[in-house]
Amino acid sequence: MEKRKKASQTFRGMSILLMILLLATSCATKRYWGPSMGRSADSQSTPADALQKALKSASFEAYKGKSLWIDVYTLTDRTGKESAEERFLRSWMAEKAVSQGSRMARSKAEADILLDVKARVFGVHQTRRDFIPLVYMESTQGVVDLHLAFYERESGKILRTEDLKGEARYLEYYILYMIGPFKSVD
Amino acid sequence: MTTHPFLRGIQIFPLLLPFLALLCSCATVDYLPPEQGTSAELQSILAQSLEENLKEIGFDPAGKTVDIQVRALGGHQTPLGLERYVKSLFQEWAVQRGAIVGPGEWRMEVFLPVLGTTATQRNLSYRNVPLYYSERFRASGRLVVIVKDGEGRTAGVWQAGKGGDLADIYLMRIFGPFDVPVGNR
Repeated sequence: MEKRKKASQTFRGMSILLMILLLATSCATKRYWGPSMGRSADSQSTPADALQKALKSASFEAYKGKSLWIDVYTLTDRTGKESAEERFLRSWMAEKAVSQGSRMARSKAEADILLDVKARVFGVHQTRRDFIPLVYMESTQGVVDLHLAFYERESGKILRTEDLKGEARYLEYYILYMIGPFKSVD
Repeated sequence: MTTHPFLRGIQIFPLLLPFLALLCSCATVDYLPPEQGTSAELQSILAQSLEENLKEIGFDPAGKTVDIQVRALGGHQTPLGLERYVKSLFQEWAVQRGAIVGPGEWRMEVFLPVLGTTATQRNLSYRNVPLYYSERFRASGRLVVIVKDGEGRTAGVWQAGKGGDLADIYLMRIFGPFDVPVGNR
């Protein structure tokens, strides 16, 4: 009698375990399909956040009242002369400079100061972790590493160089492949 | 009283479950080219490779007016971005050493026959149990610089071929990534 009761309990335990295992084989995976969907939102937001962090310490106060011409160089992909990252970065830098009292020159020849911005890095890398069946995580890290060189247009001499770095991470995770996503940004 | 072998097996099973779950876990550094663009890690090792190669150039441009021309084969879809980036790098290098950059007496021809990356994945598994997973990015760069004087004579030729290396290592596909710059091993 005792033995039968134990076997019945074991059978019940095994059934519950089987159900958990069946649940565990389900999968919640966030997939990005390009190019029809364009660049994913995570891939846009993390480098933009990283850029904001990098530019926090950037100062254009020394060039107050002077006219600036900004050229941006990156190693990012492009189809034409200028990549999307370069256009975005140039405009963003221009806004930052103008907000601190500089003017943007209408042409390179009219500028007092030439600012060359070399982006050693302006992009993202993504890591997926799958700890079956407990956790599934997807992390997107935006990284910005800029090298700024300010030239005096008249003499062609370098007035100042500066390195600016910023990182932003976006993490999304699911528990048991069913519960989530839980998000964290830093 | 001895326990039945079947029941003993069932008692051990819950202890084995976390271990089994750990074995079939997975962690992958995912790069999808080219829709999402060149990844941050790849840009970083390409930029490092260029800066290292620049240190190998023995030409002293001090007091000279140098016209810089760059030609590259690499870059995604078009080499224009890479050429502009390298030209800016050389311009800063020359000005810092006392040169004036622009049309003038001296001409610096910079060729980048190679600047690209390769990615290698390594999977060590035993009977479908993944034990070790690594992803290694390797940047290969070759730089040729030819300097000509005002009369078009070659004043010097320099070649540099330093690359960059970075490996991400995962154990059991869940512990990691352990970033290992391969050159520092």
